[in-house]
Amino acid sequence: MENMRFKAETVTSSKLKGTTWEDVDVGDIAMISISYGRIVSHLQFLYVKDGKFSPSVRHGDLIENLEIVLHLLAQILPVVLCCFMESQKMTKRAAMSSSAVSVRDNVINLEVCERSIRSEGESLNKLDDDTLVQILCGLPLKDAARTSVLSRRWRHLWRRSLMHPLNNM
Amino acid sequence: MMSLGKLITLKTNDNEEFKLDKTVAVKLEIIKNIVQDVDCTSNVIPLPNIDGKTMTKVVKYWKKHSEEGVTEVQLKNFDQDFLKMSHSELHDVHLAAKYLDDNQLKEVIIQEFLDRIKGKPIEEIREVFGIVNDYTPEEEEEVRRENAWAFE
Repeated sequence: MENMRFKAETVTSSKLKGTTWEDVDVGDIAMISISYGRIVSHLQFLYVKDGKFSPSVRHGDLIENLEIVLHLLAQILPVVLCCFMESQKMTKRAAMSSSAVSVRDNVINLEVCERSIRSEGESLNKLDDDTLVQILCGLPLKDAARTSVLSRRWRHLWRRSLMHPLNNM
Repeated sequence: MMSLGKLITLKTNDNEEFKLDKTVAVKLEIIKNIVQDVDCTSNVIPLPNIDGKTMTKVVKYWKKHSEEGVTEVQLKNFDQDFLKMSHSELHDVHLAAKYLDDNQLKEVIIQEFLDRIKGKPIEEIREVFGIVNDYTPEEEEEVRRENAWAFE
């Protein structure tokens, strides 16, 4: 685990192959989509129990040898992990990805503690609009307007910063 | 009414306890309200929305900023060091500050967020805020056209 680095990253809808975040039940706990270049080679669900992952069968393809899958996991980059927290009161999901997965002794330890999943993903999207608008107020106009492409939520946020009393442009 | 002990204990959602001098604690609006309103015999105030790791940081900040005789320069250096945390930790502290209604801490965090995204490319900003791009490529194109002047 020490040599695995996870960070929040954009998960494009194409990577999820038509599955949106909302479509995945909380009970699914975690999902991993393994991309191979631009082609998604397969999709696989991962379940989290007590901070440990257990992989489900691959979509449309049974797992015959877990080791092979884990090897694959380690070699195919980028690996995008979309993790759903099991019974976290404060958080339900987190998006994370890893671009540096390594294998040691044919075993890859995908154990990720809840805290790190939460802290690297979910908690980040929690800033309320007012706070974001406040932050945008401090940006030069052009930079603020550029944030419109971040995501749907951000499309019109920057306009609100123009009207904000804090704005000293 | 809370008894007139000198210390107030704040208890986080993971049962970590922080003992604070009452004079420090009642500076916070929320603590003051709880102290006044709640018939609290044990002097323990539960903080259901904050975990111990985050509260450790908040308390560290409060303590430094209420230190007697602390200079501006010392505070500036402290803040600089204090803000050396991951994006997500910063988020957690912001949430805590919001919950505790600590405007000063909130502002410090907002400024830090601002510093982290200023002049940064879109991808890096997504990272700071943990944003998932949910635009379709067509939509994203449209938004870029809409604000074309900003992308020149």
